[in-house]
Amino acid sequence: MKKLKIAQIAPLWFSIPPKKYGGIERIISFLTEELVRRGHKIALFASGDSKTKAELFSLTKKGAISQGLSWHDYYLNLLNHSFAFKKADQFDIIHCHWGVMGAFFQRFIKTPVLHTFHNIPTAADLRWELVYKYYQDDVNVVFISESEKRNTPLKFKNSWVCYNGIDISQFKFNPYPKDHFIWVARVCPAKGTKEAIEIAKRTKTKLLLAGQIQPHYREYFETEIKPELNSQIQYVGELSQEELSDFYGQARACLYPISWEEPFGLIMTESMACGTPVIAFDRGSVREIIKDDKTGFIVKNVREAVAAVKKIDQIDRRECRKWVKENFTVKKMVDSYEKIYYQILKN
Amino acid sequence: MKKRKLKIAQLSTPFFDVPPETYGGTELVVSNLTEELVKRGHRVTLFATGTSKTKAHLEYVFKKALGPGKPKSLLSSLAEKLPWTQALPSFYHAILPFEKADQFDIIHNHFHYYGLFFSSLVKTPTLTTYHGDLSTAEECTIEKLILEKYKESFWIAISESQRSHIKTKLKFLKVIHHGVSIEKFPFSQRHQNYLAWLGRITKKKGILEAIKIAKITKTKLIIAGTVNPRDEEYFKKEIKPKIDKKIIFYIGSVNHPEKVKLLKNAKALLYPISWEEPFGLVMIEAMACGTPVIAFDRGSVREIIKDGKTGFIVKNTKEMVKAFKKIEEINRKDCQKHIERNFTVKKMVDEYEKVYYKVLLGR
Repeated sequence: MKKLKIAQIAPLWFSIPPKKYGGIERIISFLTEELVRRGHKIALFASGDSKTKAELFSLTKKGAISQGLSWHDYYLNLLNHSFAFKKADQFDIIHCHWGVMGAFFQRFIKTPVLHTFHNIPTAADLRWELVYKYYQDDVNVVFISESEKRNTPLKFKNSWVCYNGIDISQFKFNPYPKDHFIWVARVCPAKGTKEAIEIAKRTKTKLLLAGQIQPHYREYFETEIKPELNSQIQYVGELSQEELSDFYGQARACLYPISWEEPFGLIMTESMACGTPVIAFDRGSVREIIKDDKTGFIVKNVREAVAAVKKIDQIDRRECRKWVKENFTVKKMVDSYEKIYYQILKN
Repeated sequence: MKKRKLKIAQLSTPFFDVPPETYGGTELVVSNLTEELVKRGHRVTLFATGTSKTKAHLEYVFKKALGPGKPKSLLSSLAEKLPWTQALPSFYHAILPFEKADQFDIIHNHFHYYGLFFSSLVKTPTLTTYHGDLSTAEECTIEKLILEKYKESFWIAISESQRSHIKTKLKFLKVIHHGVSIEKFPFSQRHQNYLAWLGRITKKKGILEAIKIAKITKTKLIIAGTVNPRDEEYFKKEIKPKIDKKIIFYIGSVNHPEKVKLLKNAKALLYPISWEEPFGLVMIEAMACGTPVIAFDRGSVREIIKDGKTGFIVKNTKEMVKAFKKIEEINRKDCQKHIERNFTVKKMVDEYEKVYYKVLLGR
């Protein structure tokens, strides 16, 4: 197969890879570096503090969030797309990771475009009506789970499901965990911070919470979470990628009591890669990512989660790692994307 | 040599009708420009709201005007929390002329940055008249970046002042002042004994200063204008308590006949702005009726008022009070003549036509 010239257009919120928080940014980085390694010519449109072996095109020195810009400053990402699409002739394919506005620009170019929907708006969101419906028949879409695809209110003619992959070498397998449980995510109601605490309280187990507190959830943290903190329930802040491996590995299990249709949930794969099973609520992609009873437990509510905590030792930690190795690696993800690129070009 | 007629796309905003029912300076200018171009035989497509009125070919996404600044009626409660989704309707609207770009000789963008994003992806040249405040645009990192990226596009400034207040070297082809339809603003030699203030009710337009001057001079002040949602608080707290219906009156937003009535019968229009107003249509509308304007020396004021001839240009409220006292020195006929000579739709469209041909010739 001939090697491809591919543009990867990243959102400009954070660098690629991100310094801490940023699942989408991490995936774009994995994809980009692995494609470069495989001999493709990649142009990465991302913030100037990104680190890559691809050719980097940057409108800004730093990620927008670290420059103090708001999430609401959509202009910058629009400008980035406009800037990248202007060079469309130089690429065999353009891969957009912003899901929303990229579709607007593809009308003006001949180069085929692929959109990965790293997250999707809720069904009532205007975007479905205004953007996607309009482009329904001529966008190529990758969903990151079957669940995400199901939850999409529109049917796209050309769509694929391609699971995220992680670099398993960054996550050390730990067969001998300590006695506590963990919860890792952005602190917010959808990710179930409060429910995790409730599960720990009912089972009288120690729980360590880790994750970013974004400004608009500061109040949630202060009023709902902080009053619960004590020697049994601790908040350790936001951890770097290096710290996370040990953090996962030392836990008996990772709690994931989400209350939204999580499109993927990288945290589950990272935890399992370290051998740490996941107890998750049955929402979004959970059923596709955890093998119930084998690599964790899929439960309906706090009560069932409490029961799962009590039988966590039934899980063979080696199975967790094996499961990730077989299904959620960068290699596997990039294999899928490569196939999709060639398939689009063939049509 | 007779020049060939052009196929022109005029991209207005989705926020107000063309022409606007009450408030909407940009849309009014777009209307004047569009109708005159049609009259001159050009094939014009107007991209605006579905309820706009035009002799041009009308295209739209949104039948009804979306309203001031943000398309509130369209937003779900979720979108309220994610204000950037407000950009979607704007984008959906702005993309239209660019999708059909090959049907046009030129696309004239009046919809600030929205038209720019697609302009670099089509072959048809885009000309942007920036109707907003460029003097503060560069304070915003992203706006500065956008201006920098599109500086080589074709730009029109609506006043020398607007052009001078931006550091980015935008490729300004020309300064083209707005014009009014003279016939729609009948001259009145006589006036009544009141002052007028007309505009969007917001701090920088100087409404408080106008009230102060009315009180000092004990002259009736009639205020007209729209209150946008974001200025409601200001209106309620600062302005409303001062409307005593003895000296200070507020008549709400006005349609065209109401506006004409207010302007032509006024002794003078007060314009004590505290920002770099890029143009200020109401000044030329007032003068067209023969009503002099007393304005603070900011933004485009010096380009629009002939000091001592069609009004007075002053520094502060104290000077404005003084100027008011000598307002009878102004000959109302001079005001009208000044507009007839310098700020007509005909003149504005002559200039735009020239620029269109210049852009096309340079290709």
